[in-house]
Amino acid sequence: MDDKAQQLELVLHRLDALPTLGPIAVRVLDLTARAETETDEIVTLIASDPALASRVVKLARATERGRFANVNTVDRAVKLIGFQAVRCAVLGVQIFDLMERASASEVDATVFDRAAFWRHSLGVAVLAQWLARESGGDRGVQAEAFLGGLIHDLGLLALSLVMPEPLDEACRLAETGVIGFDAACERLLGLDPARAGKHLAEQWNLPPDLVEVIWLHGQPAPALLAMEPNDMLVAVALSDAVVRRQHLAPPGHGPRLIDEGALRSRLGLDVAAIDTLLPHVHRTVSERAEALGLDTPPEQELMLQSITRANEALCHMNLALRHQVASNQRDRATLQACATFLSEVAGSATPNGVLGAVARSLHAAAGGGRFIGIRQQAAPGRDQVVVMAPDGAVHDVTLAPTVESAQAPDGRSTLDVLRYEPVRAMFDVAERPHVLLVHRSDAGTTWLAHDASIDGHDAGGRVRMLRRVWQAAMGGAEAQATARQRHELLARANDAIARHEEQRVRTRTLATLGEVAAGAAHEMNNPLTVISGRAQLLARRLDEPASREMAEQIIDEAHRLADMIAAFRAVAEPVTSVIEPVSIPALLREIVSDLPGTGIAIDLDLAPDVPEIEGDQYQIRTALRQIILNALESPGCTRIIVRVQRAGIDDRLSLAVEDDGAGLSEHAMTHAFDPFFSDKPAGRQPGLGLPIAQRFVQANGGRISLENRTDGGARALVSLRIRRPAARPVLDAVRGGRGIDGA
Amino acid sequence: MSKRDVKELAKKQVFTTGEAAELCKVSQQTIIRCFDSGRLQGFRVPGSKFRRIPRADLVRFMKANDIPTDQLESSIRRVLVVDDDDQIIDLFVDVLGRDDRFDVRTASTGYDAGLLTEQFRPHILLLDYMLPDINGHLVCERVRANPDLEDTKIIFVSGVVNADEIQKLLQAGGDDFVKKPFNIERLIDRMCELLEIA
Repeated sequence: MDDKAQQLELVLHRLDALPTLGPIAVRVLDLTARAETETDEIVTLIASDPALASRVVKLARATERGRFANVNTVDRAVKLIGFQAVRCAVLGVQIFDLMERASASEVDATVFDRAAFWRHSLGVAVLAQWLARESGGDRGVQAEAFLGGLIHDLGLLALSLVMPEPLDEACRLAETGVIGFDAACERLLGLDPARAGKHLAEQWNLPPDLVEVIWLHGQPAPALLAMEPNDMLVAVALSDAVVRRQHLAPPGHGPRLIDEGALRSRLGLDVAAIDTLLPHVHRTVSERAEALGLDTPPEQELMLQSITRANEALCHMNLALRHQVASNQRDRATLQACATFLSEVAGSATPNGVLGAVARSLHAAAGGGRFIGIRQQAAPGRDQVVVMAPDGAVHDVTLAPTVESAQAPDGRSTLDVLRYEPVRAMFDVAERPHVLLVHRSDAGTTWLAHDASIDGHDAGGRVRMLRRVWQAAMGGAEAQATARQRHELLARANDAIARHEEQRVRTRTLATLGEVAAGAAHEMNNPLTVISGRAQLLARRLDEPASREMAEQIIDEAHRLADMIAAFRAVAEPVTSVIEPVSIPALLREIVSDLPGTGIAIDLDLAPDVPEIEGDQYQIRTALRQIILNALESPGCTRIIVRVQRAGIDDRLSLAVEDDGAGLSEHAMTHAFDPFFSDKPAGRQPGLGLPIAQRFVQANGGRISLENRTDGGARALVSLRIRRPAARPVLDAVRGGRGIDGA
Repeated sequence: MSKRDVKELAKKQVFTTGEAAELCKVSQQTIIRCFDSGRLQGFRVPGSKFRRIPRADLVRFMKANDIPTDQLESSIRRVLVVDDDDQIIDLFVDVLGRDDRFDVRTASTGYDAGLLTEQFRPHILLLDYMLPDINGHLVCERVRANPDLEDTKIIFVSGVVNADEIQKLLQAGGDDFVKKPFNIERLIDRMCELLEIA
């Protein structure tokens, strides 16, 4: 059995040990429970105890009706105020006496003020009685409401008798406003006054309505109304709240926050009805207290006590408010720091940007410090050290070189950050920087090493609060960075897919074209052979030069058509490359020397030490030759420059063939690589040169593009793979002459 | 015997003992003796005693006995044109038929080409690649498989332009490839070059 349960058992045991109601009270309860009870029987019973009789008469006199009638016997009192009211008076007097007797033997130096308690109870009783009257209750109901109000805090009184010291402590706690009175009782005694009261009331066989009042009057209005309570319970609950509001209450029983409006409407009363009654409460309490035999101060003193109590409550409230203001100020500063930090990282902050903002935020909270960030990646060798300016601006990010030998002297894991050279450069190993864990995820861990002072109460508290915000922001930034990376990868993959798809369609189209071209080559070359052959024989026989020339024209055109068919097949057929080292400068010189004389100057601008490329020599030669021929045919071209150089850090060789001709129209730029497209005057070569060049360049892993030069003319750009030191094995396939070069 | 007669004689595929004596510049008796002793291969005409000597056997006999074969192996070169296109065949016949240096026969299928090669013993084949039955590639391989035809030259004449295919034809034993349409003069020059004639 734990301490709390032991405490509860002790309290219950002591409650049970309290004196029970006197024989007269028991008898009165018994008689009133039966319908056939005669008034005389009760009167006789009460009269048998002269002390009780005189108190009942006195009480009857204290009622409004009694005030104007000469009540001096029990019998008359019963007639005047009614049977029910007398019964209530008896019970009230009996319980009051009982508790007072019991308390006389107990320690009296307690915080719990019994006189104040009874005055509160009387106040509630008087007001409840009036509320019952105002809501239309008869005298019996009013008397019951009075009795209910009088003993509604029976539990509290009982606890003050059986456990005075813990109850005092509960009163003190409740007075400071730290904790509610009921909660304090629950914590210190194991049960609250309402439950203690219910236990006792059941023990005493009090009527169920009264038990309910004692047990449930403190419930919140919605809970109370949901239980369909009797009018007495509602009247007592409302009166309790109103009287507390008037500071007519024992210590620890401050105003109760309860929905008075709901309770008023349940009784059919408005706020004005209660306001009218309130001024009379103090006077009436004084009168009734006297009647009850309570040593009570006169009305003025009672008012004064109420005011004193109200002042005390106000003082407590002021103190609490001051604490609250200070706490609010701290919270405001923290919130402001949060807002500043969040506004900095709002939008598209990178993890390193967030790290900088964290440093600035920490700098502001601590009022100074030096900072350095470490982003340890899960993937080895990819750690980053983020060096920051004092204002948190990221000014250097290095892929971290780790210092192998640096072990923390005391082996603490957070000093692991000292493995990084920039951290050691900024902080002395001996001074051991603070290490703040900013964020940890599967991808890695982010630390902030710093020497800011965060030991102070304010700074420390703020840093604790802000840390969650920093962690969230860093988590967000890292997730965003990961998402961005994935997005880029996806975009690249999509591009590649689109390119492959385009290539696939192109290849398929070309394959179909290739089949058509192969068939056409066979079918068309035979008739062309006959045309050409016959024309040759005819030419031999013709002596007349004009006729002979015509025959020769037939021969030439037949051969031109055959060449076109051959070129068309070359564009359409799949290309197989035999990769070998190729010297571009040598190849270019060879091409230029073999070109037909056109009178156009071709200059080679070769960078020193141009590396060899890897590719199919024949295909590369054909491609470059076609590109140069294309430039030569550009209208107005007078000069061509072929520039060759290594392209940046890329392992590629870049070739630019520049002419000073007319340049390319937008249409030509779009279709330059389409088979049979030609932007040149009719009657020139079929547009197969550039398509063939493109096919061969691409087949060798190269790229080709066209652009117009800003100072006139066009530029063809070709990039080719530079031969790697460990070149791929050269295929030693035998290759014969290929009949399309120079088509 | 006039020079013209000797030229006509040299074209024959089967010789009498008198003709063989004439070509070998020996007496007929010597030829008969060699025939009867088996040193000169031949056959007798069925139902008679007449001896007949096939051209190849006579050439072998002459070479074995160091008799010059100049007269027999005349400067006229036998050309077999193989193409499934009649117009092409006609063109070749027109072109080469006018030339005294060539004796032209034609075939339009791979099968005929095989038969004629055995029979006609051409010095050179002008062979199309795309034939209706057996393709030119196969015809070439068969010719190259026969040791008797080892001196036969083969020029592929085709509309094929695929470099790999051309390569395969040359590897199969073709001596050259000429793309259709062709320059007649250049084709004839190439034939003469291969046949080593002026």
